[in-house]
Amino acid sequence: MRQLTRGVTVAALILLGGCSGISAYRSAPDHNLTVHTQAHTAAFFTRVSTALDIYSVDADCKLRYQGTLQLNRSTVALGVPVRQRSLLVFRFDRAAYLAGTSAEITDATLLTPKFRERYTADVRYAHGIYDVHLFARRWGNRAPGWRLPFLPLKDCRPLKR
Amino acid sequence: MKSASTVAQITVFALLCGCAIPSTPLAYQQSVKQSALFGRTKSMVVHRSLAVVTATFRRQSQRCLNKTIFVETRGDFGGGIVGTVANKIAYYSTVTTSPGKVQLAVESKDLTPGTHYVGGPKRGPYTIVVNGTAVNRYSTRVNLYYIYTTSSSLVSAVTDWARGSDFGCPVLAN
Repeated sequence: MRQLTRGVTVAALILLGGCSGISAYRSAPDHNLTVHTQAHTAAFFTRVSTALDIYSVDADCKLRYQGTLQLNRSTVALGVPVRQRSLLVFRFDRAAYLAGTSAEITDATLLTPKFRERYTADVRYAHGIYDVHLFARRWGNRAPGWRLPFLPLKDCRPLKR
Repeated sequence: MKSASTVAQITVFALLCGCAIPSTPLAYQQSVKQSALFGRTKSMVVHRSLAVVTATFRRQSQRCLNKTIFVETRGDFGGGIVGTVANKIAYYSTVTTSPGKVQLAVESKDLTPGTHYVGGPKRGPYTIVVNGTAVNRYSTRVNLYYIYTTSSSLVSAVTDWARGSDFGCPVLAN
């Protein structure tokens, strides 16, 4: 019986870890992106979770999934490869337990981090409304920097080789 | 089982319009106005010029309303069957202008295989229509037409955009 339980547990872990398609993002060593998250809901039986999916974008605008970072802390720092195009997908999942429904919506932008630049993403969710703002600033500069426009994947242009 | 919101919208319009889904924003507005039970309207005057309201609608609808969302519904589907149904719902928005007026119309379509629409707009039934009319150089009257199944976050976001109080995006699900 104990062996059976152990077998079921291992099988569940394999399924959860290997087949869900979600893997933790392996951050680049230089933490050049800081994500500030504020997410709350007024409804009692509703839970909101936010996550950041990171994809590398090749010269032909094809995506390769790099991993996911759960935005479950108010501030998270990570490294996004410099001088490479990435797609940042901010994911909002809202689960309403009484209604038995969950819904997912995303907001995505292309980003090519530059050497000696730092980036900040402000992520907000409140009362069914979400917002993401992305800012850039020079390394070592404490000023807030400038706001970056959101560039959807459809704006990706293949690079000349 | 199809998405609750989509099925509800189609059913409501079947009841409202004699089994026809409104195929134009104007037909949708008339259906909403005729239905005291299912239709909802909201009217306000905002202290922003028509040009500013129009620019906001264009910018925000591009970013927030041309999206696909995924909805999972868990529950008892009868006959002792308990499970989860996943739906993929696409939203499309159109902003049109004419002298002294702007209109934002949002359609939504359930893309889940097996979902069929009989008649109505190509990109799915209208879920909200918003009309803006210039009152004077500095203010605009904004009228919202929607039904009770329309996402409350969508109604709230469009209201905030018109007022200029918040430029966030709605989660679109109910």
